[in-house]
Amino acid sequence: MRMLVIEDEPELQRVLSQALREDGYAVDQATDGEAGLLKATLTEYDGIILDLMLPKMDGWEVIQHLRRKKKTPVLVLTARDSVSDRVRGLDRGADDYLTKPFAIVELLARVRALIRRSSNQPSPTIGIGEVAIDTGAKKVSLKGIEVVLTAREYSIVELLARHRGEVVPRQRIYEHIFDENDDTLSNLVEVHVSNVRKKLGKDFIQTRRGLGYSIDG
Amino acid sequence: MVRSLRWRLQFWYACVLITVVAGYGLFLYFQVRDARRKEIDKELISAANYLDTSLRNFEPIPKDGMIRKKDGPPPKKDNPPPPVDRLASPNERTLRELTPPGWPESGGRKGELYYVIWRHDKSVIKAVDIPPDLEPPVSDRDFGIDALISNRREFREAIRMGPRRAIIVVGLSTVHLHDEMNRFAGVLAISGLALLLLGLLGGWVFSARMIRPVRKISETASRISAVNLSERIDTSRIDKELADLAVVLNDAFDRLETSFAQQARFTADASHELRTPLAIIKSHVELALSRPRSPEEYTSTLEATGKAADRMYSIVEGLLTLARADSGRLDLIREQVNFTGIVEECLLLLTPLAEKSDVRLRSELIFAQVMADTGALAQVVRNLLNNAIQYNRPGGEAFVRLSREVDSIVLAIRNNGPGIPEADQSHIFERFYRVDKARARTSGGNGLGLAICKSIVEAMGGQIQFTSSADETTFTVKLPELKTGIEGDV
Repeated sequence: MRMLVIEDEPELQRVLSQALREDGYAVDQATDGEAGLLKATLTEYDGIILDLMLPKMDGWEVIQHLRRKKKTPVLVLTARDSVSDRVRGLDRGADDYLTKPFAIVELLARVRALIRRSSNQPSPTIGIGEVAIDTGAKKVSLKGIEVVLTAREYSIVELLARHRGEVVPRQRIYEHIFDENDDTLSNLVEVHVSNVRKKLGKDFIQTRRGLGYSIDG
Repeated sequence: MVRSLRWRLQFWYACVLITVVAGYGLFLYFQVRDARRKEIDKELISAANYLDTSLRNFEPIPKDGMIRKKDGPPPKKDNPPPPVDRLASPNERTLRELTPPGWPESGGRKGELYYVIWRHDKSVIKAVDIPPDLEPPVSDRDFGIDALISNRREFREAIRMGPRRAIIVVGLSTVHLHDEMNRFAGVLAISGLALLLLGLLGGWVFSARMIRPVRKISETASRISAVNLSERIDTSRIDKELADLAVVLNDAFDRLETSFAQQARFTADASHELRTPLAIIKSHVELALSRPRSPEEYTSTLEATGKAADRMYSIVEGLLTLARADSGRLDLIREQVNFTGIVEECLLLLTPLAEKSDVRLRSELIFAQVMADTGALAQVVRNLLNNAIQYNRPGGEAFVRLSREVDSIVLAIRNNGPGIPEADQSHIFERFYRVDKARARTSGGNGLGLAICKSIVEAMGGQIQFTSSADETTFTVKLPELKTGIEGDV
């Protein structure tokens, strides 16, 4: 899962990114509205955390511009808590709203809910054959027995499960599990996929040569 | 008397109305009475004159029994008397015909009108309906040949001298006139009273109409409260005098609403400013506690929360200072202060920051003393100098100059920063107003510095101003100079 945090307050930016990374997300950062909009437009994020009071371009504008091109779910984070502010944010295309100060656990839960809703998967558990994925606890079980996956392996499984029946290109998987600071080779994706196959069965993930990977429904 | 505009108005209205109605009524009454009297007098006099003329025309009784009228003017006094005294024994017919025209010998006005003719020896020639106590006058000196009007008890009489010093009295009982006048007075009183009541009622209704806008104004004013400040008095249907008042009140309501809105915005801003460091503290602590951490991680968390707490402290302190300044309780000590010393100290204090920001500090100071609070003045200088460094461009210069104007000391701090955009210039001293949010966040400013500077400088009787162009901004603080040695022991 890859997230973008647009927040100009350095300490808050740091703590948000760290919390998301510790929860298994790949996290990109932006400290002003323009940079945030640029990144959000260029990369396929699973979700965006957006502060409203930003230099160069404020959060309202970022949402407005983003919505012309992308459907990426946006969680607005702000110290402004009047009803009119919230209504304005939601009406412009924000998907959820959280006021400062907030609890990290709540933030993470809201992010999960956002991603779930955006992939038309309102239930937190996805079942594929004998494999069950609990997106809330980020746990995978095979025949009712929990299988321990690394954060990246889990990310790949969840991404493919959310796009069940679709072919997901390798580049998309790469972008999904690594953030902008990672400089690893893209064949790492293959390594992770083969590890998942070892743990969940050889046929759980299919390879479409020259296209990518998929999980059949 | 009741302290009510309406009742007072009504009272004066009633007074004026009573005076006018009563005055006019009395005037009318007397006019009519006099007119009636004159009419009666005229009637009496003409009757008396007629009797006189008739007596003069008495002729001896001719053989055919007809009275032959004598032509020409009546005989003059000095003419020779006629051979026969016709008055001595007039015949019955002559006497019967001796009646003023229009006077009934009996009928409608019988008992009202009467007349009597006496000979000079007080014997009666003719008397009609005379009151029983009517006596001929003792002396005839009081009247002449011109009829004289006199009042005798309830009678009005005309008396004149006839031929051969006969005495003619024509009279009228005024009882009827009295009755008539009393009736007239009654009518006048009733219609006056009706007019008065009608007028008072109209006045009451009219004054109610006049008072209505006042009531409307007071109702609107009472509806205006801290919660609902948007109500205004409708001035379109109010008379000019009250509309002026309403406009004044509406203006006051406008100012009140603006100041309440400012207050609300300020509170929202303050809570917003406090929420961010609070969010940092809360989330850092929560994250650190979510799993076991290394000592370095704990240290970093504590540092971050400590910094956020410092930021909150500075905001709270700033708000407190402003709140004190607003209520005039800044508690500044006014003492003799070495301004130059304070500026030098601040320059020394901020040299490390200037070096870090690649800003050159330059100063040009004279020795100056002012009456001020050392701590507060130092805060102002530090704040302005800090801004001059923070908002400078790398390689720029912060120039501090202390100079003397007529009666004041001027501190000018100039920087080579990018200048304050024109749109922001009028807001620069507002609380929590920031030209560039990003810079303020990273530099740790809380948006209160200039507002506090302004409050302090003004509390010390000085002025703070600024000028800004594209590549230069200068803040000036002007304080009244303390002249030692001239004023002696101050």
